[in-house]
Amino acid sequence: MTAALERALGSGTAGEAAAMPVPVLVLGPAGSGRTALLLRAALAGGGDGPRALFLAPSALPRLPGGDDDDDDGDDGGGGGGNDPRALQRLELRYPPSLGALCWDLGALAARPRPPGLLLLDGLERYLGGAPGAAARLAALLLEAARSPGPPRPPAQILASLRLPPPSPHVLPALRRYFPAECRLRPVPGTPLRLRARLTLPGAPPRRWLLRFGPRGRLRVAPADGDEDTDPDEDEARG
Amino acid sequence: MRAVASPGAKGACCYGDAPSWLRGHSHEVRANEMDSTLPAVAEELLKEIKKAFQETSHVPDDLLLGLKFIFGPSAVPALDLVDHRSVTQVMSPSGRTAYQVLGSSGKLYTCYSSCHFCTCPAFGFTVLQKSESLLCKHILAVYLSQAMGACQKLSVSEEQLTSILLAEEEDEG
Repeated sequence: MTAALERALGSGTAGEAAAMPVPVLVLGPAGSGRTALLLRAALAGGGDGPRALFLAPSALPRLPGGDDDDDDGDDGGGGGGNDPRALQRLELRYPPSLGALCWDLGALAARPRPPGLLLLDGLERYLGGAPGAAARLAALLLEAARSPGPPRPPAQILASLRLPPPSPHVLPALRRYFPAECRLRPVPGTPLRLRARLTLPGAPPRRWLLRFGPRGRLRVAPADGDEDTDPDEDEARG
Repeated sequence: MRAVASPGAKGACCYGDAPSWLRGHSHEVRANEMDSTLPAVAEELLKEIKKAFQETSHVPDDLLLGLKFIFGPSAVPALDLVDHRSVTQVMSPSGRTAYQVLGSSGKLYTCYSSCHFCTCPAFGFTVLQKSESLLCKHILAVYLSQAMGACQKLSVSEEQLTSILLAEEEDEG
C-alpha cells in the first residue's frame, strides 16, 4: 500500500518495496507537512490514480495547488493539485469524533464503489491515551480497506499521526497494524524544508527532501545519504 | 477433540524444549511484519491441525503440544471454546465477515477477520499493552474453529455487521 506514497514522492521506481501491501503511518511533529503529504498522495497520478477518500477531524482550509510564483512545473513527482480529473476522484469527509469516524469506516464496505485509497489525517485528534482505541481504529481501517465481493486488492491506507503521540502506548499499538512508516522531520535552520524517510519491513529506508512553496505547494526531490539516523526516535516514543 | 498439553510453555523462544512436531519443521518467524500475520511456524501448525482433523477428526497429541508451545496459556482455553462451538462467523450480503466468540462467562466478543483485533480486555492488556502473547484465546479459537470446520454461521445485514464491528470492548469473560 505504499504505492500511493511512492507516486506522491516521485520515486520513479515502483520496485518490490513499493508493491508491498502494507499500510503506511506518516509521522511528524506539528507543522511538518503531514496533511500536505497525504493530499499529495491522494491527488498523485492525476486522473489515473485510485478513487481516494480523505478523512480528517476538521475541514481543510485549502487544497494544494500549482499556483506558486516560482513554479517551474518540476515538483519531482505527481502533485496533481491542478488536475481536475484528480480532484474528481477525491472525496473529503470530516467526521468530528472517534465514534463518527468509526461509523464512516464501518459503512464504507457497503458502498457500491469503495475507494481504492484511504487517507486518515490527524489520528492524534481521534485517539486518547489507551492502546485499545488506537488498535481498534487501525483495525477498522484495515477492515474498511478490504473490499468484499469480487476479488480486488484492498484499498491503500495512509494515516498520519503528530509526534509526540498522545501517550506512549499509542505508537506501539499502531505499529502492529502499520508496518511501514514515513517519518517527516523539519530541516533545522531552513524553514519550509523537510526530510522524509520511508521505512518498509525488510527494505532499506528511502529518503526525500520536501520543500513548501510560498502558497503551500509541495516540491519533492530524492535525497541521499545516511545523515539522518533517526534523531527523532525518542520523540516518537515520547 | 480435547486438549491435553503440558503447562509451562510460554511462547516460542526456547526451541530446545520444543515438541517433536516443531523440531521437524522450518520455523522462521517473520519479524517486522504486521502482527495480524501469524508467524510462519504458527501458520504451519494450523495447517497441520486442519489436515489432521480432516483426515481423522482428531488432533494428535504432538500438534496439541505444538499449540501449547506456540500460544502458551491461550491454547487450552481456546480449545475449550472450540469444543463448545463458541465461534460464530457472521456474514453480510456484501461478503464482509467478522467473528463473534462466546466467552466462558457468557460475554460475547468480536474478532475482526482482516487483522488481529478482539474486543476482550485480555487482548488490550496482554497482547497490546504488555506484548506477552501473540493473540488472545478468542482469536486463537477463531483460527482453530476455521481449521476444524467448527465455526457456526450467521447471516446479518450490512448495518448489523457494522454494529458488530463497532461493538464496545467488554469486561473479562
